[in-house]
Amino acid sequence: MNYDTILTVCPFCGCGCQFYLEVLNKEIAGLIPCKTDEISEGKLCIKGRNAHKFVYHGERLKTPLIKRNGRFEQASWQAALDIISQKLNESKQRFGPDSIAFLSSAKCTNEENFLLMKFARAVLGTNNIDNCARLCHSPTVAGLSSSFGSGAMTNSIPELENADCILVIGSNAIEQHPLIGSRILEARDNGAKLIVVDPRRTPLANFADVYLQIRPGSDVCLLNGFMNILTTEGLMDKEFISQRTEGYEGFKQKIEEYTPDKVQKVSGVSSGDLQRAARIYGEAEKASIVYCMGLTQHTAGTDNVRSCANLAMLTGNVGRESTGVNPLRGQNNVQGACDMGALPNVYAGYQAVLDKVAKERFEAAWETSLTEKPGLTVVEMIDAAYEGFVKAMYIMGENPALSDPDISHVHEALSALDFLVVQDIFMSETAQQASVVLPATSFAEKEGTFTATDRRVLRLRKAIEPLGDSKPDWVIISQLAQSMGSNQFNYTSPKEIMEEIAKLTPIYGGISYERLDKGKVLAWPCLTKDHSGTRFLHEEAFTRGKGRFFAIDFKEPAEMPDTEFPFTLTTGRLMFHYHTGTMTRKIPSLNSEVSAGFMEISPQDAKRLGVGDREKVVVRSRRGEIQISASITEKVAPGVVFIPFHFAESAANVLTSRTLDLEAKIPELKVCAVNISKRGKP
Amino acid sequence: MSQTEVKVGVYICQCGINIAATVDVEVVRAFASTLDNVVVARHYQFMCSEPGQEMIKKDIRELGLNRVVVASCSPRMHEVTFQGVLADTGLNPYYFDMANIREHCSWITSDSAKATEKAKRLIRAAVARVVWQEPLVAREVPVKPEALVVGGGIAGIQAALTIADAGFHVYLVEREPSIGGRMAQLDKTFPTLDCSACILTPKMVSVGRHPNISLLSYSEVVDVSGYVGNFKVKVRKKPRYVDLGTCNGCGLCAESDLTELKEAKGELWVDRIKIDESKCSQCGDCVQACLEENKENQGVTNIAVERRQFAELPPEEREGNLPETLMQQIVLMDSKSRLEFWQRELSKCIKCYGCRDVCPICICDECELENPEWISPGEIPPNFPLFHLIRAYHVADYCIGCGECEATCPMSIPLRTIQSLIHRQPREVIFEYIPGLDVPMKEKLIKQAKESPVNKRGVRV
Ligand code: SF4
Ligand code: SF4
Ligand code: SF4
Ligand code: SF4
Repeated sequence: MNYDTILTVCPFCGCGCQFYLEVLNKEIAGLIPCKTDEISEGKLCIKGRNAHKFVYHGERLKTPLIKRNGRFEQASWQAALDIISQKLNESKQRFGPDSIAFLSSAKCTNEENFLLMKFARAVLGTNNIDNCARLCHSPTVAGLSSSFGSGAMTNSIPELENADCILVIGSNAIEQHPLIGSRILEARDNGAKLIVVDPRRTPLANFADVYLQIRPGSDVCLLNGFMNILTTEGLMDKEFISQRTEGYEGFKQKIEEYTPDKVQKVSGVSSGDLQRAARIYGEAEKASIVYCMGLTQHTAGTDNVRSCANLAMLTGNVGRESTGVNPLRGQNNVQGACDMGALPNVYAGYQAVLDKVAKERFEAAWETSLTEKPGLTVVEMIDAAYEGFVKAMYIMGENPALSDPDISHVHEALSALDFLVVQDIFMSETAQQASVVLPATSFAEKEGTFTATDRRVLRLRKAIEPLGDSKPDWVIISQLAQSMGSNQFNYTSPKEIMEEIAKLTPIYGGISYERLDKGKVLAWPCLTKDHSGTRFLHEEAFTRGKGRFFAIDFKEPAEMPDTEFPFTLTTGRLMFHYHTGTMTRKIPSLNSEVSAGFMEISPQDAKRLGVGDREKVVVRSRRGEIQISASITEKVAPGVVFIPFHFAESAANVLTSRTLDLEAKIPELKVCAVNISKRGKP
Repeated sequence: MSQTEVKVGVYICQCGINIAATVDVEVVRAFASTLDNVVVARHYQFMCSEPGQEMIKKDIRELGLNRVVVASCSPRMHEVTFQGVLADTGLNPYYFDMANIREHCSWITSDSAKATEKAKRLIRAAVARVVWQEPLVAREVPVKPEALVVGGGIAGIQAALTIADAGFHVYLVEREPSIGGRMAQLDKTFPTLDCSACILTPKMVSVGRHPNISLLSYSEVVDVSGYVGNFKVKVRKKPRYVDLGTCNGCGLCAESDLTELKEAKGELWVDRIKIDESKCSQCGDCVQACLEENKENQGVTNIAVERRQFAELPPEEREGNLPETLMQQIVLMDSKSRLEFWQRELSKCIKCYGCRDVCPICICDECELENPEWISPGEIPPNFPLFHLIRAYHVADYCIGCGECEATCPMSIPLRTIQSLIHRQPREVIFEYIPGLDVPMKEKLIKQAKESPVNKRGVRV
């Protein structure tokens, strides 16, 4: 008998909990929490506790598949790689490199994301690479970079415990980032005040000192009003503003327009509550802002993020412990995917493709010439595919056919492609449309690193051998690149890839497997091998020098309810599932908790429509319709309905709109207008 | 040193007839003189004798040898002797190698041909090796004249005492709260039928009082590194929640409910007292007993209990003591605030089932917590109070107080305290319900659960 425990990282959310996989005779036998892990401290949420259970699922892809006459046929690796290199070459020659687009994955390791972006840029010569961060935190990257100079969570997770006030906006932390949610409650037990802003009464709202049930999409207005109160009552940090920031005057004039009364009218939050909340935040010694998708998935996403940055600067709550502006990244490695440059406009470490010096550095390292034309973002790629400008796509571990807005449009776009490669562990909705499907391995079968939401780089360790014929993504990309004639992909292990990353990416300069394997907690920027990482950013000065205030006007969401579509639909996730459910819906103990989609509706609206609890209704938007059962609850306010987007058979993203935030190109997944009718009636 | 400068002398010892009777030393000598780098090869009756040694010295001086191979007995016999010869003539003593052609060769066979052949090979190997040897210099390294004895049974105790009496400092590490080991559990010793305690206890006391012994009881060695004379040892001291400096061994704490020493009452050594963390129910009796007896010289430092203020103590003695333990607070609450407290705590639950998964008592194949009849699937927080009540009752009889449930709960709900509370309750208070057996009560509870208003989706109580 051979028994071992392997310390590795949870494949679900960005908290980055570590745990041990128990391996008995080369098979995973169980999972044990790790009590010495700084984040989880031996605690895990239900997804983490069951993370090993999808690994052996019968539907795991185990051989490459090639579609012939509309049917998938099993193929050898050689045949699959041959056809891919042939088709990609063909597309590149006939239509130019930009006819090919890549989607990288926030579920894959840093090394794999780095390789795919290297493959796209160095081998195919296009910057058309993006990842699903576009659909969650691109406004964070855009917004916080312009305000502070760095688009990441400013402080670390454990610091939350010692804050005096935590302002949570648009984050259902208890359900979506449980181990962060628990820290927020811990802080509250330690005497911190908790303010929750959310259109939906999330579990966290029940513990709030002040809960502001905001109308979806009115965040800028609310935050401006918040700051208006702070300035009127003199609760700002004048010294911080004058010494460390710029642009204050213009900003101040702007927020003067947002009186509490005006805010009450627009956002539906009473001016009294708003005042109470603002005073709590303003008077706190260490105040921390936590936000998530509820703030970013809007046409005004970038504005929302900048407003948070404004608020933190106004009160001097940046660059100190237990303060800051803290976006919670959703996927376990969405931070890493962005850090590794799986983005159309930057190389690894946020070095712009337009920057000559960066370009030359990468050209020298990879011995090739690179293009400086920024590439397409996720939604733009899909549109370009639809219009025929993008001919071939390579999708690694993503499921845009369920996760992107307006999925009927996505389906049409994907079928318009000449050639689509999908690399995944299960036959996802997207993989079904592929020309070639390559079987990748799950987190338990490969080595690598993940970067958690608070910039901590964590070691993923291999517990078992790849199942069947599947291969780790980094091996697949390397072999493909080699078969396309590149000599730049001769890696024997992810460790070597990390060495290359460290060389080319200043913020990862001090990261190495040796250090991580010694149990070091390293959060970037970690510049050199003796640098101990950075727990919170902007301590002495902002990354960009001075923090910048932005004067921001409130804009209504792109699609407002009207007489035809009178309800506002907002979407989100549930405790028990993860994104498009490709993994969690295959875990029995999770699926038995919630196995089908539902729509939350307020008792008042339900009564008016004559809809009973669990009754099937039809929900329509300008883009499509779905059938779904109603769940009557006081969690949502009248006029608002909520649908989780995990379930393909009642997919919320049939309804959502793909109107974009102009700067970050994120679609407005959190607000669209719908109408609701009983089944069988128009 | 390049090989051309190497000059090796080979000396074959006859050892009287010990070697020469079996090994043909002349053949071997002739063979040795043909080997690379060999300048001279001789044999002699006793190489270790004065004349033998002189022979080597003379050759070193006259022929300028810089390597010496002696083929004779085991290096354990004479290596030092011959190294001394080299040193006397100013050569580094490590430019020397010894081929053992006696114990490894002549003594183990009477076949002269084979023995001679083997002797040749051993010598050829020694010559080949000595060419590559490098000069070594002996140096002195300071050592710590201290000893570590692991294990405080009778053997460890005696070893520690002997070393300590010789004037060296000793660290004696014992993993249990007290030294004594097995012998302390025996009555008589074989074969004299002496009283075991009469032998052991004086020695234990000597250890405790010996100025050269540092006793580390309730401690374990976790890491040993370094080298002879300079070891670095890491010892983990386990918490015993008793301050050995102030504890006077009165043993009153041990009379309170759940300390380990309950049975050992009246037979305490000062050194033995510790509060068993896993069994502590936060009742606070130990601290109270200690306070009453020893006033400000309190010896119990049980942190779980330290924070309490003792409801039972007269107010003037409560002063200076911090607020109650959670357990105390809950016991002192009236029923309404107690309900509110639990509602609040349990509504943090995110239904991760971690408490169940880690519990050594929860081993059912099908868990009632996942039975939709009781608990609505997919809902957070799970139905109050059923979810936690079910588990609490199921494990109540068997809970070992390990605290794993509480440690693993992501929302830090005081789950073990629920168990500690149940343990304090007489059966009548918990509706006489016997987990797993009481069928009628189960039906009653199911009925109640179905009718309960908390069962409606999304409505919080
Ligand atoms: S909180 Fe996130 S990282 Fe931790 S166990 Fe749950 S899903 Fe995994
Ligand atoms: S304390 Fe009791 S209920 Fe909790 S895990 Fe240990 S045995 Fe189970
Ligand atoms: S004892 Fe009860 S709670 Fe524990 S596993 Fe069994 S049914 Fe579940
Ligand atoms: S461990 Fe805590 S959060 Fe998880 S089910 Fe148990 S009580 Fe609930």
